[in-house]
Amino acid sequence: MYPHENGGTHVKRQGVVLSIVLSLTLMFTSVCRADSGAHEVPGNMELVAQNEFLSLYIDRATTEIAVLEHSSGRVWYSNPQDWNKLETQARGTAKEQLGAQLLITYDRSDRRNREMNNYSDSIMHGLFEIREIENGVRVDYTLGRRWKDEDYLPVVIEKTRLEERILSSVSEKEAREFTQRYHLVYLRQPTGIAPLELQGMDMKALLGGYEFVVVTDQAEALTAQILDLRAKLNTATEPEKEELTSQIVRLESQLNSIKSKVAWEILEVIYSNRADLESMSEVRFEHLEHLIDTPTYYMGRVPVFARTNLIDAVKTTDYSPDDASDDRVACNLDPLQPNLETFFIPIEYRLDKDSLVVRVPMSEVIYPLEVLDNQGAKHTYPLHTIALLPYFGAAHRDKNGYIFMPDGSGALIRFGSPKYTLTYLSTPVYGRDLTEDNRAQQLVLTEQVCMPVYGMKTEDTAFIAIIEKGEPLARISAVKAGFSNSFNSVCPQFNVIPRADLSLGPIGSVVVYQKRIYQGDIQVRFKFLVGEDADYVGMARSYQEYLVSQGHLRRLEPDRDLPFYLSVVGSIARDEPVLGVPREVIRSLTTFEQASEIVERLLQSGVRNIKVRYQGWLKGGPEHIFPDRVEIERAVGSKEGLVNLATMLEGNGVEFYPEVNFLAVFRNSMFDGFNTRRDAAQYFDNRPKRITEYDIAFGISSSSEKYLLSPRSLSRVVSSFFEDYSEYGIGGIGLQCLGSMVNSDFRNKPETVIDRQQSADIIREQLAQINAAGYDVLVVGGNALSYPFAKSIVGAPFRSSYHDIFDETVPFYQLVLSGHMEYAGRPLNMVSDYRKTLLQSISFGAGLHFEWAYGNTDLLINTDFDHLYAISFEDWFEQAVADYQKASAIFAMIRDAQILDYIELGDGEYVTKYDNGCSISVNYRQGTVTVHRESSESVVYEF
Amino acid sequence: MSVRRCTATAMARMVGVRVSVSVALLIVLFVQPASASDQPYQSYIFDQWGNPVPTPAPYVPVDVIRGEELGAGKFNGPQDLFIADDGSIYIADSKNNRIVHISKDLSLLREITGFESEDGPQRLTNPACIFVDSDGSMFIGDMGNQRVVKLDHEENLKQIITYTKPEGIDVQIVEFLPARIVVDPVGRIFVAARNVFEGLMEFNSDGEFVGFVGAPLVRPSLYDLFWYRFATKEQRERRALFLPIEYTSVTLDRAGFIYAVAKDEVRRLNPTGLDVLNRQGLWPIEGDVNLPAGTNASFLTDITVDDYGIYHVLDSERGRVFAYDDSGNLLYTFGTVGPYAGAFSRPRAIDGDGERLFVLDEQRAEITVFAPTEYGQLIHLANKHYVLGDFEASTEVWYQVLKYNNHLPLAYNGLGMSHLRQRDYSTAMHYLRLGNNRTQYSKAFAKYRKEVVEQNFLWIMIAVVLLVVAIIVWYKRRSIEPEIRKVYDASSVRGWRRIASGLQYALHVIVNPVDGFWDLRYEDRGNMPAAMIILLLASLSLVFMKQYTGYLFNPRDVSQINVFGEVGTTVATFFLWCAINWALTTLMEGKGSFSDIVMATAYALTPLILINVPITILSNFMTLEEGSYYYFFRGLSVLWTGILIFFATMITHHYTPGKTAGTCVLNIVGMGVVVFLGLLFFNMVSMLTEYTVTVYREIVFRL
Repeated sequence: MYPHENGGTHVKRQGVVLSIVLSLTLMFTSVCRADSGAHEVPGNMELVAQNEFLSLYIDRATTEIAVLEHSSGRVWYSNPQDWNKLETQARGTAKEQLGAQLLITYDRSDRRNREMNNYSDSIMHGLFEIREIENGVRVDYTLGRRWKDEDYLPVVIEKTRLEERILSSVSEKEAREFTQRYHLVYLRQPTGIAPLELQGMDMKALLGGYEFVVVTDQAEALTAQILDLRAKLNTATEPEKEELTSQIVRLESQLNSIKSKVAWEILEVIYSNRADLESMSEVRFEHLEHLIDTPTYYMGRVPVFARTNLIDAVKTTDYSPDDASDDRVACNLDPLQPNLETFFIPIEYRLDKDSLVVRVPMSEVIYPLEVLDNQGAKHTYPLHTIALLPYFGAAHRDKNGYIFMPDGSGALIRFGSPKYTLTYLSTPVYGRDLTEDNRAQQLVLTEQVCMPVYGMKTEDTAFIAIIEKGEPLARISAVKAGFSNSFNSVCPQFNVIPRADLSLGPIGSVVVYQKRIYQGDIQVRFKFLVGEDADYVGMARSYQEYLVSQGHLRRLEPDRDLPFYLSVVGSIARDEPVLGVPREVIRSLTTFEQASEIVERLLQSGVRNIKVRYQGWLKGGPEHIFPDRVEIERAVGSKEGLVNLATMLEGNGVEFYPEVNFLAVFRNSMFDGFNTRRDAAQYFDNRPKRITEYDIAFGISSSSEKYLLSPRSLSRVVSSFFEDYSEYGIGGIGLQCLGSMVNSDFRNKPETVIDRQQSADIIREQLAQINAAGYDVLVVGGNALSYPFAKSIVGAPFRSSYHDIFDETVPFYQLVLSGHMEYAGRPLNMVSDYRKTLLQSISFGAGLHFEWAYGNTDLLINTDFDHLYAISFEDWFEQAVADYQKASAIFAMIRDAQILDYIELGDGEYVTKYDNGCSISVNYRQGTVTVHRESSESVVYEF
Repeated sequence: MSVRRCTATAMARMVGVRVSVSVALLIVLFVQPASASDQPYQSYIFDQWGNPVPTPAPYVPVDVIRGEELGAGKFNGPQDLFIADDGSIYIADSKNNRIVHISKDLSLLREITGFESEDGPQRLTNPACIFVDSDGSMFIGDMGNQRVVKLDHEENLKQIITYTKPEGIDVQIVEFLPARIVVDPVGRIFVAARNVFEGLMEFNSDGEFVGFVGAPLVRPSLYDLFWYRFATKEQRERRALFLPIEYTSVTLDRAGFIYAVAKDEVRRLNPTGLDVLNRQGLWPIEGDVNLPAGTNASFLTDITVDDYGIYHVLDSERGRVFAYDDSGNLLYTFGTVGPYAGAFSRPRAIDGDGERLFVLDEQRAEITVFAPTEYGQLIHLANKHYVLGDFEASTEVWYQVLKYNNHLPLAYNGLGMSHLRQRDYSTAMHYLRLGNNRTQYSKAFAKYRKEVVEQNFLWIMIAVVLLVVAIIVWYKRRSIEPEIRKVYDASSVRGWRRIASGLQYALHVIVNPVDGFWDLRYEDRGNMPAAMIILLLASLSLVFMKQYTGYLFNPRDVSQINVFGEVGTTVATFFLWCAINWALTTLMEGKGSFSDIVMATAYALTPLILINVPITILSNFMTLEEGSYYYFFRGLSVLWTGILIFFATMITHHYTPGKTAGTCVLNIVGMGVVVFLGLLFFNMVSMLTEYTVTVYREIVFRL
């Protein structure tokens, strides 16, 4: 369970040869590139892998790694160089962290969130092993020493064993030290010497009639003398006898005083190394039995400095604490208590083309799960989080640059910007896990992280990290210099065993954990950017290329029109009195006929590439019945009406996406397919998780009657829904939650738990199934996991959460999707700044999105849908059409182009440059869009 | 606005308190947040039941002013912000002991750290506030030196105002700590000083202390008054310090009136110091209303008024800005607390330059600049037209506002008012109802009713004549029938006829209670089925009243009324009364049995049916002016029923009137006790259940 206890830095010979060969190659290459002002890789680093783009180095003493990019000659380090000298703020462990590649937190029953880092707890003790793997290197870390230094020193050991195991392999001087510091004692049949008396001890019970012998020169001499005198006594005369007797008594008392001194020390050793003894007077013969005729060393009172020497001496031998423990047991002492809080975590670094791929194989990670201590009690120390490469590329506070966070559309944290409070931010990928979500209050409107990436730019270099595996468990943490040390850093932190504090009311609370650790892999890919590319635009392009290479994004058709997204609110639920009893009734806002009328009017007004998303067509309105079947809401129309609408839309080339929400269960009636026990996601207390809702004025949470669907039931619901849905002959489907939510199911058994990664995999799988069945998919929100399957995205973020730590909000999201996905933000009629959002959409070539209802918007008052305060179609129609026509004219110039660059000109003006030579500059203050083309004059549009 | 809404307000308040408990607060939908926004907060207003209703954001953060970006060095604990007539901004950067003056386009103009006086240069210490008059003269509240310094626009010392205790006024001001200053057009200086509870300190233009104005009204509770009676002199004195509140901020409106805020109160003081703030909105002007349990009231720290009577107050409790119009209607709210741009930590001061709003945050040491969205601009424009008397233009703008928020009662209200002026009464009624303006609705309804009656006069007359004829005929036929026999023989009537006669007898009882209740019991004139029918009808009539009373007289959320719940409550109350009555009278030698009590009490409910049903129907055709009839009859039905219950008890148990009155009082007390015990029991059971569940859970999790 605890491999490589005393592993150290031992290297296979083949590895050495290989690395010498490689470093020779490298020396050659670096000589060739000497003129590029390359940053030298420090001499203490050793080349372990190389390809045409990158070389990977490792420092075998500190396990720090470095990546050299060949074309630029730049080097990126896993830990800041010279952190030991540069760090001025932090002390102790906080400082040592800077040398770490792993930060972990784990819980102990008495204290939560105990921290360890692999520098202080592994590298410093040499508890790691470096191994060569294909294209890279692997380091196995054991965090936390199993034995303390003290434990190496035997407290008690048989004479022969001491001689064999230790004394034989240490120097003479050290051997002397041992024999001096230890007491060699044994028991033998009485020889007639006056028995030892210890004050307050029952000597009969203690020694069982044996004689206690201390082996020292002095004691032996005395014993010999006494025996000699006693022999004489037998033959001596009376007066001599008296003389002899008094001499014997004197010598015996001398001997016994030596013995008693040693005996007390031994008693103390026994007493303090046996948990069952409550006082020294309880030591009995049974504890000393092993001494009968067996000379044994007991450790005396050794001063600290001498102890250190002895420990060092033992460490040079192969005598281990396990042996020490065995010796203790052999001598009737408790075995040694090893430190159980040890963790085994390997990291693999590989070069894959132009990127560095870092992987933690979670299946090999070992944490103390029900480990036994020497009393036979079970202990578990749940490994809560793992932060991987916390200081990769970390920049000292003197440097210029920024951290890129993917929050919402993206945001930058500039180094050293004067800001009010926050210098630390940690934000979950794909938003919160709603099954875990237990906040009491929520007042602030924020955006979520849709893309599992982060990056950092330092001076003229940058890197972007893409979390490839385990991203649903990750939080991206950015730390500014000054928070805990002098470096700016960003890293992913993986929540491998989620936990919750369950309140037990007045009694207190219990911490409950997910029933097993995450068993997939953690994998992060680093890509490196230099010069012009070293900014967030370059990061976006790099991520886009990555997504394309993975087949997640595809270049769009060049001859398309500006997309116009129309979200239709078909019906809503409201409380109305029916025969004097308030009941929920569904009222129509837009029937199928009315929807087709709206679309016809749009078509007549010249709007093209329309995509209709239809909400509230399933029975029950937007918060519809459990969708394991298709049942059309009567208030909106009939089956025929829907089919007619679909036919009409198809005939006019309009994409049609009736929307369904699979992950939230709004209604639970007796005879639907939803069984709360089976199908609802469960919280840590094994109760079905109800969706928490927050009131808007005070943000106070309340529990609703709505549930979260367990991911385990998703495939069943999806397949039975599509069985019915296929009858309608509709080519598209709108998916409300699959693109914006990932929720776990913390069921009570290790095999029934669905962790967040599994949940994400299930969602991907279902999206793939839907795709495979031939449906076009429109998702809301736009988490990166949905890109391979989505044809369209609405509700894409156009801003960040505006955390205080952010200095700038950037359109990273837009840059990544540009030219590769048709998408739009939130409905323009519902955003607070219509013009700004419209101009943003235009400058990035995003679609326009409106959310409309045909009539009866009065019905929304005093319902759960009163946030739809501006959806009257008549109010917005003309404006929408007029703005679409202008935007469409601009779009025509860039429809087959890709964004090259995005620049802020100041005073509210921004320019987006496209690769066909077109550039669009928008001025948010004046509301103008200027289109520049290389060959012709600029055109100005006013909005 | 001149709209009067007193009645509606009063009703809404009355009901609001009750409804707030039962009606779930409106909820942010989790799936697709209503956050379609460019700001970290959700704006809202309160509807007539006190529920927060989401609205579009009226303002969005557009800029942040920080000292270091101005080149003036980091602000430190700034306390006040003042925007002068020329649009330049003064910041009292208190802990840096300076005033920072920046221009309209946010560039640094100057720093003021002291001034030249006759005794040499002097420095400002902890300046907490600043006011700049139209000449550019600055009044700086130099708090650390306990004085107000007046400098002209070139920073020459003009005046130093200190406080000296005047003769004849019995107040104790230990320190003079000016926290906010305003100077009215006549030159009077008003200071809101810290730890001063007597009101605003007024100084004349010569800098002499004149006295206090706008003393905060002390409203001691009954509890306070009670303890005050028994308190010792020292205790009273100590207590006196805690009762009043100090003004936290003041500002001046166009007319020279002072707006002042204190904790959760807003006042508008006229030149004589009287509070003349219009409070015609649905809810009190105190920031957040209808607070859930465990929530603190808003703490208002500053106020700013624009030229058209809209004032914004700043709440530091939840980091919000509340905007009210001249009449006291809540127009919108925005802002929140938290570590986000556009949110606050400890907001201290707010001021506006006519378009943008500037909010100063003491802890963050920065100023957030908010610009109005189209929605916010339109609301301001509509208000402006209205205040200037251009109602047509105002109507136009309200229509546009509806585009952005078609749930805004104020917009509907504005539209309703204009349609009322255009004599389009039915449309006006529609809008006024959406705008929840009962007073104006009543006016429109009166006109509309007149119109309808005039148009259909003939038909109405015919209907009335027919009705009169029908009544006469019915009455004639009835009087032909033989009179009720003097000696009633119960055995001669059976089945439904018996019940019918029992019901009919109720009409006799209610006018002749003494005879009636006697005969009911001893002549066997009533019967239990009839009594139960009366009880059921009475409870139904109450539901009917709640649900179908005309809009003008019905402040309830009609959609939430549940017949079963209402009937259940009434019937339960009825039987509780009867049971207690039975228990009491058994002890007090009452002669009636339980069934006697039930029957008599049920019969006593008859007036409820007879009066409630017709007035409920009629209330749909009444205006507020005719409301007194409505309330008279409602009162009558209750009073009548009360008298009947009294007689019922007296006669059933053979009591004297005095003893009956005593019994009735005891009966009510008894009901209270039972309800209390019931709640206690319920509470204990629920606690026990909770305890068991907790123990169970603990066992489950620990194992």
